[in-house]
Amino acid sequence: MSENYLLRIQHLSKSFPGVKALDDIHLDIEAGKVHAVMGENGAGKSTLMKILIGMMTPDSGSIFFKGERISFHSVHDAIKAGLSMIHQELLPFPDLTVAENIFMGREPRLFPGWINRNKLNTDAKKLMNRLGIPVKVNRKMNTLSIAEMQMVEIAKAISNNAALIIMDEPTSAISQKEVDTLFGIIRELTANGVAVIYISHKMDEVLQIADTVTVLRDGKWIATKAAAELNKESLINMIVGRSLDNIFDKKQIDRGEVLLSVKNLSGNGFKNISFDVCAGEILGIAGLMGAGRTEIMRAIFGLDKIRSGSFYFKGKQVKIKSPGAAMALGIGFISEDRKETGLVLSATVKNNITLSALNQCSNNYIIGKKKEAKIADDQIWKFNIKTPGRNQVINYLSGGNQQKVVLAKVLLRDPQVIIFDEPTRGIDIGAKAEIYRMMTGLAATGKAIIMISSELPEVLGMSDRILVVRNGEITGEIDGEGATQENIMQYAMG
Amino acid sequence: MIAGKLKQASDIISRYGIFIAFIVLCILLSLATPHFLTGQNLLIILRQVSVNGILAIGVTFVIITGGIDLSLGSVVALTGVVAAGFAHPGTYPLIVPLLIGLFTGVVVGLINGLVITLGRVAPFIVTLGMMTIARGLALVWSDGRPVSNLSPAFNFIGGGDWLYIPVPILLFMLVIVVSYILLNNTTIGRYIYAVGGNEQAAKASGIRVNAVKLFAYIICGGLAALAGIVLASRITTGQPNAGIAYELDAIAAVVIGGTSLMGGRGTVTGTVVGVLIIGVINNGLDLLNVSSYYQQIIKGVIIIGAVLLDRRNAK
Amino acid sequence: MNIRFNRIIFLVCSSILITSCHQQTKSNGEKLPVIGASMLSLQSEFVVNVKDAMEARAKEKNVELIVNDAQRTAEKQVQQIETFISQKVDAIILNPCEVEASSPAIAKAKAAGIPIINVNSETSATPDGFVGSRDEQAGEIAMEQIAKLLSGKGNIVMIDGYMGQAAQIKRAIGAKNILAKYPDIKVLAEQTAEWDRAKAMSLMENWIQSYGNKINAVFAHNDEMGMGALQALEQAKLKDKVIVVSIDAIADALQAVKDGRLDATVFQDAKGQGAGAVDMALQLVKKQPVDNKEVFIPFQLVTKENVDGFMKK
Repeated sequence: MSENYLLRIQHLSKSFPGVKALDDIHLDIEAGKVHAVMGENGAGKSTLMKILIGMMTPDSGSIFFKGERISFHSVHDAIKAGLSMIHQELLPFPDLTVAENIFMGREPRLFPGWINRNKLNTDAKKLMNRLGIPVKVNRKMNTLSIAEMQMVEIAKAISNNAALIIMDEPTSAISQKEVDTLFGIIRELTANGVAVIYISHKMDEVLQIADTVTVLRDGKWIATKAAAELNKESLINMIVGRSLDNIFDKKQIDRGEVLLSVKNLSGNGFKNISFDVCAGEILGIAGLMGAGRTEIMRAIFGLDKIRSGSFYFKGKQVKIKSPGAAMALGIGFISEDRKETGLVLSATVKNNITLSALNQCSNNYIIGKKKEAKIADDQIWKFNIKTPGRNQVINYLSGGNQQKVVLAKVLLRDPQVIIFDEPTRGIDIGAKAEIYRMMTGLAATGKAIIMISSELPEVLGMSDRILVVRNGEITGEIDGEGATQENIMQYAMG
Repeated sequence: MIAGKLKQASDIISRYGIFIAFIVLCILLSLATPHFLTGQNLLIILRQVSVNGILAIGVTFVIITGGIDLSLGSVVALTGVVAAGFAHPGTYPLIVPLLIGLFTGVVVGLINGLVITLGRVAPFIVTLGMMTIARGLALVWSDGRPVSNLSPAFNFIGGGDWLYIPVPILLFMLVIVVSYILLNNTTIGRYIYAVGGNEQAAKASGIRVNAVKLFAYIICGGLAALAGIVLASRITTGQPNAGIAYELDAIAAVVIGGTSLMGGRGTVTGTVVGVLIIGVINNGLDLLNVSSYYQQIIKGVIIIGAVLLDRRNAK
Repeated sequence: MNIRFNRIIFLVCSSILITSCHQQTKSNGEKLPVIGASMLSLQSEFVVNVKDAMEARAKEKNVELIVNDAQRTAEKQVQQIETFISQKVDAIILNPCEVEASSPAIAKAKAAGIPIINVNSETSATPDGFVGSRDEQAGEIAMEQIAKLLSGKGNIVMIDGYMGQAAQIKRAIGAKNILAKYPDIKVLAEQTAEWDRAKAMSLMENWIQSYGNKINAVFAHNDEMGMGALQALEQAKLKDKVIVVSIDAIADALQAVKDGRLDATVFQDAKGQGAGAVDMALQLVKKQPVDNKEVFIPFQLVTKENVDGFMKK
């Protein structure tokens, strides 16, 4: 029986500091079948795939490929053994032709150092014909659409004699017509005995193309079922079904006046966004990664330009053209990526805390050093930041403490509307609880809070109201009381 | 126990490494030649480093923002000949050549800054272009010849003493103090560090990043002009081919002083020590009559050594 | 990105067009003989003087003169000669950057049948003509004057030009030829200041620290460095005890000699060299017989006594 499986994964585990990314996973893949792997963000899919193609090594467990136990040390090893991955973000050589990309590093030679260009092109053409891929092999890669590039990547994998191809969100950036072509090619591959691991959030597509579906959640294997036995509802149940931990400390607060409204906001990565947020309210923004949630918030904070739409603050129309303007209105932004946009890592704790509020300790030109030190010390105490001192370079602090510095910095200006973008990503459970308590406290003092989160329990536990964003548009608004993981996922995945 | 002590010692060395290196260098030189550690020689060293020192402090501002200025040497020549052109005896009062010279440097800095921020061209490219443009302008202005016959008042800036201290040294000191205050005690100084440390975060903190960068390039251009005027005055002519490769000595001093070329990190005091190290090496090796071939090798070794020390510090 | 790049190409092309049109109208009008000149460096005052003399004589004789600046790089100089050859100029004047490295330029011009003459200094390849001076002679004259002023006895320091350049090498050789005759003159130190006034000034300051009153005379390979040393000595209030002699007779130096600050400089006849080079080039173009294919224009010592005559030149 076991000889029938092309790939067997048994008892695979992998930990990162503070997180068990994979916990005793098993997975069996048959030749000539499409096996979908599903799960929420952070369920462990990408870690599993990285291990499969040799980008990471597991802590324990075993992988058998074509009946032999394997442990790849590099992507190169995996490709040589017949295992290829089509990444979500393609990395072609843009100025080379399709044929050159397919045979990169394995060009047919006339003699050493001299490429046999004729053979290169005819081989590539044969391969494309066999797979039914309608792309001319002498085109430059940068003239291709994303879907065409994907097909070239598949051809490349096949030319490497791949027996198993992993496709990571292959349809995230291509049109419905191109999806149909892609599925045609996948069927062609499986008919020739190639196995495909298909990673996707899109349930319709999975149910359409997959033979088998495996669901992961929180790094654990949940179930493997034949696609024929499944429907959308049962899939969602498997993906999200978990109990809520009660660390959220949610309090009921009366909603006050509308502080911020946006009307018909359109920009890069989103369109037609309208919503209000009130004093005392926590507004959760749910959706999949890449749905456009961060882009919307960056635009509201003046970090990115908008194409059209308008802002109203306390009922008055306002213009927000720079973060400075947003901050002057009373909007604060706690960014998703504290290393990119949150902190100056080379600066001290004190200098980060006071960076956007130097007017509180200066006459706009000269900084009052004593006053600044006192402000910094107050914030360090208030936010319980664990640091040897205010002059510690922030790079040396832990993730949770760095996040608290971001909060201390933004809240120092006493903003009325606070945008939290993934406020608890990558920090431990204790720090999470502290941040949740802080958010509740802020709402209780009449602040409006907008919280982007990809963690559904967090969205459900904290929000008074939830907006769901998909493909840059708001697809649903759910009251906090009536929200369930299932109905959020339905809006988020479509 | 001993390991702990050693670690403590190595911490101190890496923290104050460049100061220690400077002092060791001075001790070695005063052992090697009796002429080194004399009041007069120290004054001469200070006078010799003042031009490079003023340049280095200017470029410190730019480097902390994560930029670079390769046009310094050419700006020295340009501002030198321009100022000298207005400094012939019996023409204009001293203030005229000074202001025109400084203004020229400020304009060059402003153009550098505008192209870098609004044109979004890499500082390396912009200032590389400006390097040859400013040199060309200096040659055009002076017709390829030194501009000489300058008024005694103008020559006082580079050659005169005030209260027994050479004027270039006083100007250098003034630049040190003002720059130190700018970088440490003012909001714009804080923003310069923030922009260099993380431009995105600075922007998200409401800082007008382009204005901050512009400020840094203007300061750099203005100080290059001051250095150009001091140099022209010191050698009593405006030389269109003066200052060739001066930017490299200035940048070397900044790097020796522990300022990171990636931006966000650096101090005026570090730069001053870097300037002094280069000055002491030049002076000391001349005193010892070391061949100029070896002088170049020794200077290079010290620059790389200083940065190695700095890497350990950053770890 | 593409648009920006296109714009740059457009700018470059149009500026090339404009300049080439400019030249054509000039030459097509009258069909003047064209002489191409590649000069060592137009940032050196002496070379600029030679160039000015060439231009003046060219205008006088109704010749079109194209002057290129080799910026002290032999490689650039050879490329400039190649360009002249492809432009089909009638003659080439070469002011060589280096003895060896500029020689290929001569071979190329000769192969193309275009007469080429050297001005100011020599190359290892022999050109069709030479107008210039022997740099050794300058070193000899300067050092002879120092020896005379020291009465054959004393300590000197020497400030060299950029190491490895023909002028530096030859001026040093000339000086050492004379020093060999005066065993009582001792060289305390020799160091380069790269033809630069500020560098020479710093160097002299440092030497004053280490040698102090022991220095009796300074020989600098050019006037710029001589002036730098002079200023350092004046600031240390040592000038009246130390003799300074340098080479080139630039305006500053002549004034200093007149004022009694600089003891002597050595005049190199930029005008004579530049005009002579154009004359010889024209003779070769017109295939007139040239009596003397090597014209040496002698160096002359300039002291306070005769300085007035040179200041007019």
